[in-house]
Amino acid sequence: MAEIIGHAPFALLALVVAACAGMAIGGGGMLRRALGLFGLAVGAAAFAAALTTGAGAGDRTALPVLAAGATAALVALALAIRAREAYGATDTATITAKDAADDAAETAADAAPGAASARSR
Amino acid sequence: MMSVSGWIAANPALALVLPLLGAVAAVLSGRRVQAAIAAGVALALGAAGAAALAARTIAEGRLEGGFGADGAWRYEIDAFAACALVLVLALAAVLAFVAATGAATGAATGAAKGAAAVTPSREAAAAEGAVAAFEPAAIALSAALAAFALTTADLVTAAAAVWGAAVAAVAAAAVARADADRRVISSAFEALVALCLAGALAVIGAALIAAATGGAFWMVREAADIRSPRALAFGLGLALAGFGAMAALAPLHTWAAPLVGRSRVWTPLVVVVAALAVALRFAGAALQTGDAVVPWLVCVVLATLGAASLAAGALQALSAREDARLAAYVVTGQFGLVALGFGFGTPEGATAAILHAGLATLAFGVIAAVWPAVGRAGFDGLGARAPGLAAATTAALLSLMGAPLTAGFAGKWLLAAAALERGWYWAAWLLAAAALAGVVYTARVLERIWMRPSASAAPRLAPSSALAWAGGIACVALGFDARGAEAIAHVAAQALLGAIR
Amino acid sequence: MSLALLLTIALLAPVAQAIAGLVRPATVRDLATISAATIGAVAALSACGQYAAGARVDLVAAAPLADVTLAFRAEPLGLAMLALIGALNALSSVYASAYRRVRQERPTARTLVFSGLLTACAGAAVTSANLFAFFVAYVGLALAAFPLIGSSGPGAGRAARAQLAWMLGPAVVFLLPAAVWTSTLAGGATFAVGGILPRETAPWIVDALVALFALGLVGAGMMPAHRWQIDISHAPTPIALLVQSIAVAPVGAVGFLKIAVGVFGAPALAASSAGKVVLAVALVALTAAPLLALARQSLSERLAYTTLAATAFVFAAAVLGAQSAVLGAALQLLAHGLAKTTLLMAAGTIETATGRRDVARFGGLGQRMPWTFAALGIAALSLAGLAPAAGAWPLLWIVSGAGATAAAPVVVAFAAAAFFTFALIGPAALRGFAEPPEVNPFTRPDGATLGCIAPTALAACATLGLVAFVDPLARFLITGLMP
Repeated sequence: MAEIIGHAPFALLALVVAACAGMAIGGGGMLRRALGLFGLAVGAAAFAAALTTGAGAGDRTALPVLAAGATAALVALALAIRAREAYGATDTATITAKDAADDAAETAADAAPGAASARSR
Repeated sequence: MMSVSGWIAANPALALVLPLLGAVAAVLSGRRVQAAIAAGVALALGAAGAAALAARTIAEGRLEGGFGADGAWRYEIDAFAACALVLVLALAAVLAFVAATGAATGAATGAAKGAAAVTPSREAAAAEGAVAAFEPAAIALSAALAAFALTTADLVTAAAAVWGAAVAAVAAAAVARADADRRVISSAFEALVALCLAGALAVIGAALIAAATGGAFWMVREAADIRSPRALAFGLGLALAGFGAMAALAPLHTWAAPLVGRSRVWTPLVVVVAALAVALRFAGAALQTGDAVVPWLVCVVLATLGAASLAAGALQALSAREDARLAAYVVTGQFGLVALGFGFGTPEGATAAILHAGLATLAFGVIAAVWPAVGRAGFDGLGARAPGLAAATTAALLSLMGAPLTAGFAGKWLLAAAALERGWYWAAWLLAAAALAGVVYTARVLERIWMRPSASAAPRLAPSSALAWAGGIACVALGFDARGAEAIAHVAAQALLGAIR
Repeated sequence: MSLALLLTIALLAPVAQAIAGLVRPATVRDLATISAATIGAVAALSACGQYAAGARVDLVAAAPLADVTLAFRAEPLGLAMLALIGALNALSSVYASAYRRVRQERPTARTLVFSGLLTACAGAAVTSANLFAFFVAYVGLALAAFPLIGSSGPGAGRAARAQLAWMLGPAVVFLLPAAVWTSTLAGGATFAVGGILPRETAPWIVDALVALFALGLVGAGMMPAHRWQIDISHAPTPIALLVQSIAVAPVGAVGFLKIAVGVFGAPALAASSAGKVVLAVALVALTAAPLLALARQSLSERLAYTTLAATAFVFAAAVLGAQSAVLGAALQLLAHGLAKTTLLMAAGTIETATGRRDVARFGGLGQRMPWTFAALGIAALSLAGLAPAAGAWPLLWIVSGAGATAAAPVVVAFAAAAFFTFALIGPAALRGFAEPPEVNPFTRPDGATLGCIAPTALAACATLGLVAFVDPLARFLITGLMP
């Protein structure tokens, strides 16, 4: 194990990946979280490249990882822009509160007599 | 059709190119229905080709090769990978055809929603133009990446491809109904974050495995090939956790139910099946290493994920109040069973798990094909407004429940037998308890389908209806004779586990 | 006709009967259902004859997996029970048609369809060749009984839900895993006389399997899962017949007997610890059921309790291990089926004609309804196992088998059960003849119709006549019960 990941660059990379993952999970606004996802993609690609260089693959494995991760970050960015239109905000707390309000409105509409849905359970 | 199949069997790369062509054609067509049909036809052709490929691998064994500069992009297709390819492409074809009718459902619900609808006026625009074509295109792209993941010989690329497929599937789900319900946006974002974390885990795990085995993990047959068993074990743990999350296995399945529940589309299922298949390829290779610790660890991880999914899926399905969420929990439970069966570490368990995965995917495909007719009213009164589709749904639900004389029974019987043979009595008991929970929630849904009045008008017939009927018939027919499917699953398990026992 | 064709006809006739339930008008419908039931009965009886003449057959309806088949086998116990179910079903369909006409009830299509399906499932269960086929038939039975019981009267919904929960839940959680386990251990789940479990199976596994099978079948009418049976004892007679004497309760008992003989082998079952627990529970149920029933006044409720005792009778006899006890259990199923059918029909006829249910109010009715009360008396004798009637023989065999395994409590329990059973039903017949007649007890001017009385009398004749066939029947059954 040590001979494979025992030296400093890996520890540093792991820290970067963990920090970006943390940012993506709980980093306040959607824009910042999308940035976290981008960092995660870069970090994972670097990890893959560093680990597989010895196995003779190197940059060939890093490219697909970077592509997948960067696309994810782009989709996240697009979703953040849609969220700004739909919610008027991109911070997680506001969006969660508005979602909860929507849920409550939907439940009330379902419970009302004559509602289109008969989900009475 | 025949010549296309033969062509793909001879040139496996076409199984990836066809879905990609479908995606391009969908984008170019620019209108929802045409885009969906273009993507669906391309995916169906890909699935037919994959079936020919599967027949070839079953007859001839593993296919290997490479293309690009000095064969740098290597592929390695065994019977298991080919069977998984058939399932993924067929499922994606169904979803693409379903996307053709998706607009009608979305528009109707958007108008009904009122408060939660963002900009209903955009729906008319969304039904046509680039946005409308995006959903089928994303489905085709997702399927193409999944197919790439299943066929590549490179571990890290496989993980990255599943990651990419997941991103495409989430994007498709987000586009499908974000105009009708803004909560789709936040659910899709959370799912995206969860899937990216899972993808990063899988990539790093795969890279560790490659480092620990000299990059030749698929081909590892001897413990002596392993440079560092601990790094291999650690990498496998990370990779299986990552793929497990993408396959909606508990406890990492929390992204699925909100996304499916709010977007009301089934696109993530393609990723779930593909991630599970890739995870099983990793696990199968690990079980063959002959190392002292690695196979044991893989069995423990898979059995834990599987048992947790089976229990969580059953309990959450019992308490689910909404159809799409219920379906998502059932997905978790059913594919948890697959992981659990593979976790037995025996050829019997692997055969049962693979058979169950195939039969469950068939049943989910039927429900996905019926989905446009389910609509916002849910399953209530489906029997009154679309009796044929309701019958197909009933067959699929009974199959998922594992009722005798439906397809799902064979997989569950073999899984229980494999658990008992392995001496894992707790697993057999868990299976029985989950089956009882399945009886309860299936009975509730059947009661709603057949015993309640219909809340809305009869749905338009869609191309997906024919697929639903065909799938429903298959669910029943396989209940009467699943010996052929069992034989295929057996070959696939042999391909995956090689010389074990 | 070949045995295969006869068995197919006997198994499918109730399905035809179910479809006939959808026909209009009512007269054609009744004729069609009665014809279908009669064809089934004749086919099943002929199949018994063919088997006795040496024919053998296995029908395979589906093969989901290589060693998991939906197969039905012509074997003595299954064929005898199929013939009994067919004959009782034919009598019951005549009776049901007359019963509904007298009471001016219009049966819903649902009732008729599910009656047919229930009978079909019962036939499939008793002739099942393996545990998978039995499981499928048993689950079908549970599902078909649910709508029937649910529509059997006001407040029956709760009983129907209890029935479904008690039958389906244990079937899925206990019976199915037990079937899979057996199949894993024995390399298949096809019943074979003498048992299929390998000799080297660990004792704890045998115990676990016995417990799983017994628990899996508990819902069909074994105490302590009996509450729903008592709750629906006032259901219309045609439904009570299906639940108590044709389909539900007998199938649970036959299933346990088939499993005892065909999976474990009776001696191995008797030797297991779990077998002893099952014996103890069954003996308690056997004596407790008629005792509990003494507190009830209504004849229908008393009959429901004696059905529980009959199921416990078979469970107990199956785990005694002696060959004579197993044979006794098989004969008891036949004798009890005939006697219980007679009693239920008689009770239904009495209630229809006079509106009376309580045994205490039967005084003098026998002189007004001599046929019905004579049938009641004969069936009561047989049910209690008293000498001239057929019911005495199984009791005798079981007691001799119990003696062979040296179990005094067993003899005492069976004797006490017989005594209490007579104390329950006997007075109903005695009062009818002994007490002075009332002037006009009938709520309907002309009492019961011929359509009600004739099947009752026929069933009573069969109950009485069975004694003449005990010996050939035993010789017929013995090949299917003993290695």
